[in-house]
Amino acid sequence: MIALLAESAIRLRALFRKEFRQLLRDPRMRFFVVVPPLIQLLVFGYAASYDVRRADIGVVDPVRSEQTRALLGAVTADGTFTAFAFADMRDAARAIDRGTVRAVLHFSPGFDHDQRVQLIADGSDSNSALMIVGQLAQSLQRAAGATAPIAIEERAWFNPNLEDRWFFVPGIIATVLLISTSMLIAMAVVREREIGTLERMMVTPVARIEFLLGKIAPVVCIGIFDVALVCVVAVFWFEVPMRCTVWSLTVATLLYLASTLGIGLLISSFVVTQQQAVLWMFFVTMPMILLSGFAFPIANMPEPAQWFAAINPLSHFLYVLRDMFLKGGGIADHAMRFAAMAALGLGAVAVSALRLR
Amino acid sequence: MKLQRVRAVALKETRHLLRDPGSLAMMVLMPVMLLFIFGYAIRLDVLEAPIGVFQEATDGVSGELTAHLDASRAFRVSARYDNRRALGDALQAGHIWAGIVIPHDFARELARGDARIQLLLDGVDANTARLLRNYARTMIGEYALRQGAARPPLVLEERVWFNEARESRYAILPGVIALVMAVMGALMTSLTIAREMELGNLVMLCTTPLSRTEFLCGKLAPYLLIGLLDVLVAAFVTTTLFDVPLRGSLLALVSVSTLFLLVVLMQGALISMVAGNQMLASQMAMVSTFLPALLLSGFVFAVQNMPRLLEYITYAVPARYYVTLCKAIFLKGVGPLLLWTEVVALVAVLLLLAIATVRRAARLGLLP
Amino acid sequence: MRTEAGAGGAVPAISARAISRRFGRFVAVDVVDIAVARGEVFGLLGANGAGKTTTIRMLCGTLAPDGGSIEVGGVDMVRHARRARGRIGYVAQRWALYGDLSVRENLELQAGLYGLGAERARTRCRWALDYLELDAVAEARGDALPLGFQRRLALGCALLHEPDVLFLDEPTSGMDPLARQQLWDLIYELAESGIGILVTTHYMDEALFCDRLALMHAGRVVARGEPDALLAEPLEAPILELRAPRCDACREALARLPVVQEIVPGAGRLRIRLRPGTDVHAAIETVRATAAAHGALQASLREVAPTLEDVFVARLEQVAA
Repeated sequence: MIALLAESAIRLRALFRKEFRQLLRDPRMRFFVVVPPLIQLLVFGYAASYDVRRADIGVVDPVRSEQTRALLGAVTADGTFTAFAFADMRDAARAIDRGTVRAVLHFSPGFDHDQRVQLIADGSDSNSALMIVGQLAQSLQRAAGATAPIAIEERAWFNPNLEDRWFFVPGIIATVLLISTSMLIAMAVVREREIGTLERMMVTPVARIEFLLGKIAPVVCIGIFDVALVCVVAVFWFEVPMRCTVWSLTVATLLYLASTLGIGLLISSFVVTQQQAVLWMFFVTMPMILLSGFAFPIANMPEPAQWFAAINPLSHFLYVLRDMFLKGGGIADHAMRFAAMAALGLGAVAVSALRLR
Repeated sequence: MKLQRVRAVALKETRHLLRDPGSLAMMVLMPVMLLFIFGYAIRLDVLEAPIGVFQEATDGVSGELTAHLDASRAFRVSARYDNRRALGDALQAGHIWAGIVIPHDFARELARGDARIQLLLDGVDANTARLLRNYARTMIGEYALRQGAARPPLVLEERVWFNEARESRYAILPGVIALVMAVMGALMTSLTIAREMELGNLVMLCTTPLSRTEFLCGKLAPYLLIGLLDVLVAAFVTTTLFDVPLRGSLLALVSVSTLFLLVVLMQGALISMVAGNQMLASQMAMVSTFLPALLLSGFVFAVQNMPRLLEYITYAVPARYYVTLCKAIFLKGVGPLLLWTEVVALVAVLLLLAIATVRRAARLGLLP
Repeated sequence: MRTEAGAGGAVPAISARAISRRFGRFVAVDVVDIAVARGEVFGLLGANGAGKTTTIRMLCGTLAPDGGSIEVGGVDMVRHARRARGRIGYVAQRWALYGDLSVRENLELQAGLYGLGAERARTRCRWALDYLELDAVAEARGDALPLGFQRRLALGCALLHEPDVLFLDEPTSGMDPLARQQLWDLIYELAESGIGILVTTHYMDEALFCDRLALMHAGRVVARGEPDALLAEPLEAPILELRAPRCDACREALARLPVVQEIVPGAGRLRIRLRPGTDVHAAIETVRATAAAHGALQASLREVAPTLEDVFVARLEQVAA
């Protein structure tokens, strides 16, 4: 028995070496394993925001009184809004049609008497449109001297400045892992089948499980490396708080990796060509990502989507990750979710090992 | 360039596709699936958000405020708490997304015109928190008015053009088509040429009189057709199933889509030749097409909300122009003529890519 | 006696003059001349890395030479590339056709790529299916065919457009002896119909089937000529053959003899290559004595004629010196 294991260990070591070399021999591959996760993190971190930071607005002011000028000045004071004047509504409408301004302030011709202002927002970007209109309205009223009879003392827990990126960054870690590891493993296995070396390997004493482990090893290392890289940048560059321990993060990551690899392997056992692998991976990972709550909250989704979230390892991992980063949760708090991820992963690996021929 | 040779390659490519009906079906169904997800499942607005209320006093005025909040579409008072700690725990545990504390002297202070309440938000999802905060402000402002507070000085009439119903769906779905096109186009073509290189078919092709432009045209032609089919299917689903209006012309949509398709197909071909094998090609395609299309095209995250540097980078993302055109054609009823700057940008990108692709194809060994 | 220009003095099917090619600082092909006449079977031999593949790629037109010129039937390969390629047929060493297309579809593709008109394409495809006996599998998928059929299909694809010259890269590798013989019969038939054929091979016995040979090493042609002529050249190093029931035991002892250059074992015999300039008779005595001393008693020992392999090995050793 010991002898068998020792033999197996030798084969495994040889396999690991070969797989590592094959995977990382091409310097471009090395590049694409390291750099894209970072780029995704940086771009996502900076681009992903629903907050209105800047908006070009059009102004149609037939009155041009001291009051209108003062109001405009107040609205554009903090730099969020930049105003562009238009002669009439037709020109302003064209600008909205073309997308050069996102909203238009239209003072009524009789503004001095009726104090009417029309706020028109470009609804083709509805999320921002509402925010822009809301902010403009508030600024205008306040500038015109409105008082709030009920003052609201606001406090945002866990994320005092309502930084969007604290919400997104865990999502990036999870999606980066999913896309890179599952795609890599699926392609790695199918590639051998397509090029024909799989047959050759099956003739050797290599057991199916050893073959799979050999394929998995470099991908796991890459996955952990990517997670570590992304976490370091997130914490030190973006200053996202990490209120959990490294240990719990590692455990969660490994379990999640088990499930992503499982999915990749499962798909690889069903397809013949790499082209099919890519298509299927996409077909499966897209819904997983979109419905995981990484950018779009799950609670708003209809029932079927919520059930899907229950079996989606990404949504579990995401929940755990956010909780651990921002709320400081630990392993014990999420035992059920961890168990679910592990079960999914092991199940998928088992099925693919059985199907491997 | 001989049409016969292009036809021979295109015919071969079509046969490959037909021999793999599963993949072909997926290529056509992918947009439908994505549309379903974005149309049904994804909602950026907040409805019936669970909130908790802690009224320090149980007087009528505080109760009225609570009821007012509950009656709104945005909120649902899921629980009332009788101490601050319970409210806090519920927020920590995620049972409620926001908590409101109404102080015991609220009624008296309101009569004096100087009341205060406390709003606690779950900040993990910053966007939802922001939306809830805005709704809360509006609701509370309305309530104050009802209680006889002074009217605001300006009469503001708020209008949302193109999307009066303020459905986030309307804004997102036209962009989904762009996302699908961007990814499918590049992904598929990037693999197909890399495959010929990887499996050794190119060795044989290089000894024939086939030229590189003939090769590229023949390879890309079937995918162009599939892409157009995807656009039509997507347009159909978007308008009939999700009731998103197509206020512009179908012809405008098709012509703009063709232009964009050519861009992404060319992108895929270039990636393919640079990568040389399918595994690397797929990684490169995912990173260079999917991510920019999702993040930097204005499809979900408005470009102007980004820091300046990123905003400048988006000018190099073809999907950005296509998203703008799609939204304009669907929702605003205008066409490529008004948005000629976007069209010109796409044409410019196409020319650049075409030159780069043909030049890179020189390394394949085919005739020029 | 054939001239370099080929049988009958006609324009050679393909002729390469002083072609060279380097990759960076590595010189892959160093001023090589090759000409294949119509109706001739030309063999190109050499180890991997000798420059064979690069030469063939240049002859096929897929790689441009750094210097020299290549003409196919009088058409310059570089200046009139398309026309030149239209006169060449190429069969790759590994399967390079499409596995998920049928035999017929692969042929149709080739016909289209070579610009054959609809009528001619039909005729030629019909001819290929017939001539190469692929009728029965015409609708079968490429990757479902056994190796022999795949090779025949590749050959058919290469002949559709009636080329002047045909390149066969290791055409018989992996085939059983019977199939090899059949393929060579086919090659002779094709040669007789006037096509110039260039074959690369590792099998020495196949080298003998060729009309003319060229041996490449380190980017140069180090041996050239008809197989008979090459074999007739006297070698500097004589070759002895020792036949004995158990000669394996004495192999090591013999290898240590100063006169012995190399020992090539075989079934029941040893081929002993002596050092250049050795006196044959003295060597025979020494070898016999040593063999007897190590158990090979009933040994028959004599000088034998060199094989083509011997000729090449000797030539390579000369070049290395």
